[in-house]
Amino acid sequence: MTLAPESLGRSSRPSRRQRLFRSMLDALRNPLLAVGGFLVLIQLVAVLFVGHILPFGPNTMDYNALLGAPGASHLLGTDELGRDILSRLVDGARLSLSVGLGSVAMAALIGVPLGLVAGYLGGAFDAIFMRLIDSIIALPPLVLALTIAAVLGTGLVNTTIAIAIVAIPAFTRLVRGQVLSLKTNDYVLAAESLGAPTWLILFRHILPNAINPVIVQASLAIGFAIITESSLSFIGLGAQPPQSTWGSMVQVGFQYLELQPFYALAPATMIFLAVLGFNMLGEGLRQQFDPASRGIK
Amino acid sequence: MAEASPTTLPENVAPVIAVEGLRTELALRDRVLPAVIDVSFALKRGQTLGVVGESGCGKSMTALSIARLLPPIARIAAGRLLFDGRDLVGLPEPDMRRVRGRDISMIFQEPMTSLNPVKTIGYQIAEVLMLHVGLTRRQAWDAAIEKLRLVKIPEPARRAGEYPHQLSGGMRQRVMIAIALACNPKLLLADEPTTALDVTIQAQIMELMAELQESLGTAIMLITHDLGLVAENADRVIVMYAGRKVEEAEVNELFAAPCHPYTLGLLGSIPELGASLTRTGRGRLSEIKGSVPSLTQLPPGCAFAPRCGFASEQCHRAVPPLEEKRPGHIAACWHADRVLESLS
Amino acid sequence: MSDAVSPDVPTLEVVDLVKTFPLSSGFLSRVTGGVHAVDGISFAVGRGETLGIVGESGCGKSTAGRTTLKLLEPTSGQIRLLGRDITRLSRAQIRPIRREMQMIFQDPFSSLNPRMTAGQLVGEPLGIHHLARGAERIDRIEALFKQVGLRPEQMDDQPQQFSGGQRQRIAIARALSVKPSLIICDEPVSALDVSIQAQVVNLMMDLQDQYQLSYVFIAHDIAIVEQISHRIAVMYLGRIVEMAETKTLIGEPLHPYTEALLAAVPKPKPGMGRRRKALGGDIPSPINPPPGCHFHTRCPIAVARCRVERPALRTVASGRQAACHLR
Repeated sequence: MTLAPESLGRSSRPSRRQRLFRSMLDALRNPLLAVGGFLVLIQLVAVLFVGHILPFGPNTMDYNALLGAPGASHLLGTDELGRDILSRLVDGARLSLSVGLGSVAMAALIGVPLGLVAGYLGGAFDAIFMRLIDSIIALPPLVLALTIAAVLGTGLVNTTIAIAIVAIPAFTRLVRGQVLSLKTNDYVLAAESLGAPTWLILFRHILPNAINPVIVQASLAIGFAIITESSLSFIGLGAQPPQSTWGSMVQVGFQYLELQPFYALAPATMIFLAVLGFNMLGEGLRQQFDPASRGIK
Repeated sequence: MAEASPTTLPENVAPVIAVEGLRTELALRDRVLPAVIDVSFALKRGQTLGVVGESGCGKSMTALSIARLLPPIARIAAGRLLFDGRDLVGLPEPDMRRVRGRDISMIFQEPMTSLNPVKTIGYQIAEVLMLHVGLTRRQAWDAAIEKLRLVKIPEPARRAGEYPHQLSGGMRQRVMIAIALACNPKLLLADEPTTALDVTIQAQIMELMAELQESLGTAIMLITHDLGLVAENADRVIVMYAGRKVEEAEVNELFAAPCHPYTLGLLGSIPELGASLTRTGRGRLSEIKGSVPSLTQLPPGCAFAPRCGFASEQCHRAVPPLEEKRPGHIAACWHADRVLESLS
Repeated sequence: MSDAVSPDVPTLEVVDLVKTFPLSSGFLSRVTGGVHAVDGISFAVGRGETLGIVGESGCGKSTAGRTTLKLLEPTSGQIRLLGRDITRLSRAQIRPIRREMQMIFQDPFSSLNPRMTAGQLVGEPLGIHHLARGAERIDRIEALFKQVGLRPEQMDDQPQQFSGGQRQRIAIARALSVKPSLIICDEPVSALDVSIQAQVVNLMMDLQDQYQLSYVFIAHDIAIVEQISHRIAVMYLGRIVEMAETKTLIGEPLHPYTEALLAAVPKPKPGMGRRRKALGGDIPSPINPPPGCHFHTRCPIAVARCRVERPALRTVASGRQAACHLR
């Protein structure tokens, strides 16, 4: 056959790796993404590495330095039991991030498939199920989390579950909306016409194209989860002693605000930076994914 | 720069619009791409100029440059747009706004997106008249109904009170024409005006535009990918490729003796209605190999050279100048003589 | 499946196919009526044959194509693929049969999943129908790429990196991968540039000759349809108004609508067709079509009978049908 390929002289095309590298460079030029990513990154580094090199464990008590002032050995001072605040802060980061990531992962794992199915199947299931979701959304999230946590009982696992339940509806709604618009695309019909089974259409043709907003939502939801966990811990529902998260540190430290201000202010600042970081990351990702804000290629 | 590309204008009538050496660029984040390169032409009263080319050839960008309605990333980098002797390039925006709509108007491919969905069509026509002609509300409404009658919309008085979504595609394009011609503009820029319409409706719309042009003397720039439409409706034709004008001639001349291989290829690749009658079995269409180059990857010489059967080493090296190849017929090709030879 | 079929059984037979869309209105979305998008059409396509279906917007040609492939559930009528009645098969039952009937869509920018590579897209049907895996699948994909005029090195590129014409080549390779008997092409070239249209049409004709494929080629552009079709059916508001061999239909059209459609095409020859008489009136809404012959509101020769009585699609001569009281 005498078929001429259409792309004569188009040989200098970047490879996939080059493209990935380029898009990462591109992403770094977005200030929201860069700052948000940096804030999130230092938290992860702190949790993964810094804990091991600190001289004190989070529960090591030093009775000679109760509520000690910041100094050479204790950079941020000590608490009422003589524990190093910096060590506890880093340990708190581990727990707070675990709750944040865990609850959002749980919410996404449940919420995304529900949204997929509701959006793709439609009909009575969709109608009834979405009204249920709507009714959850109608409740104030903090109050709902508080109620669920109170019913489940104290402890970080229950807190994680409570926050996850509150975070599910946002994922479900988001994905359902995506599916409703994506399923009108010809490539979904094309897959159907090839004889592709429903699960394949959902997971290969619809989900990958709906995933960007899910990632954005996840980032924003982690911020929400951290602040909710802190609130629950602050009122005593979350972490139980000797475990401490940032929220419970703020709660206890609050009582010693005048004697040892870093005790409450340091974890409060961390909460602020963590939430800010995840929110900026989410917003930055949204801008990056949204072709309208990128200009034409 | 303006002298670089000649344009042939028969007789000594002052043109409505004379485009001289127009260059329009797109400013991207990391580079500047030329969308229109050194394009010149002139258009007289009552004349229709067909501008043909494929997607990305710069034909719409040329029209948007004339109307000064370029998207934010695009700008006119060089050239003059002499309209009624006045250069539109550099005209302050308020002055330009007065020119637009009154002296120069546009119709686009998709009438639904060009009309305001929450205003009646009568109001949308009347608005133009109030703005540019200074009619009162009452007068403008009556005039709007008159315009609808002019574009042959049945029951114009009733239709004037309807909203765009209540009309069919053909009717909406009629409304767009009514709005475009409301102030008797000197120049109408019609960008693929019938592409979204069904073929029987397209015939109606083109007939209507021709009638109105005859009675109003409007100059029309008809931008289209459809050579058939140009053959039937244009007086002169410009063929554009990759941002440049590659050929210009009077319509009969262009179709009878295309001097540029791209024009020749385009003419060959349109399936001709009735072709099956004169042969046995199915025939192949003659095709232009390759695809339209992207603006980011323009070859150094003639942009068409990589797809061209006539291309020589020279074509890959140097951009051919626009030259008069036959009387009143200019083309940019190093091998126009060989292209013409191939016709016979 | 295709090997067992005797040569005189047509690849596709459609009998009295009707597709009605429910029309709902009001507060509780009560069904208040139906749009007869496809209103009882019958046609057959033989092995290696192209049937062109031409018509304007709202004529039901796309719905006809999709209903034939059972992407839409037919309201009534019968669809026989290679002699087998598939009309009432369930979604699950039809899946294995989809191997025999493929589709090519109009818009190559929305019919290819942007998250997959060209190679994955072309190989996907092989996976779905368990036809090839691993290295064998890669070989098949490479062969398909070459066959449709793409370079195998482009396998890892994503659809966005291809031009419109190349994307449509990917779509063709994808349809071809399972060696179907029938491909329904819904306006496969109308989104492409003129110079690319010819390439794609030529490719489709070459592939048809090579594999004895049957095509249903749906388009609004009668000149393109003439180019590729052996026979042509003209549709207007859900009905076939005329069907004949290409030469006959183009050369001596019987139905006034076919005549009008032919007359409306702009001819790329200056000074020939200007000032031709355009067909008046708008295409009526398929929601509320005119009674009798749907075309009577625009027909230049309509008489009183046309306004009340629906003309049947009669066989006028061998292989030639028209639905007009007067011709």
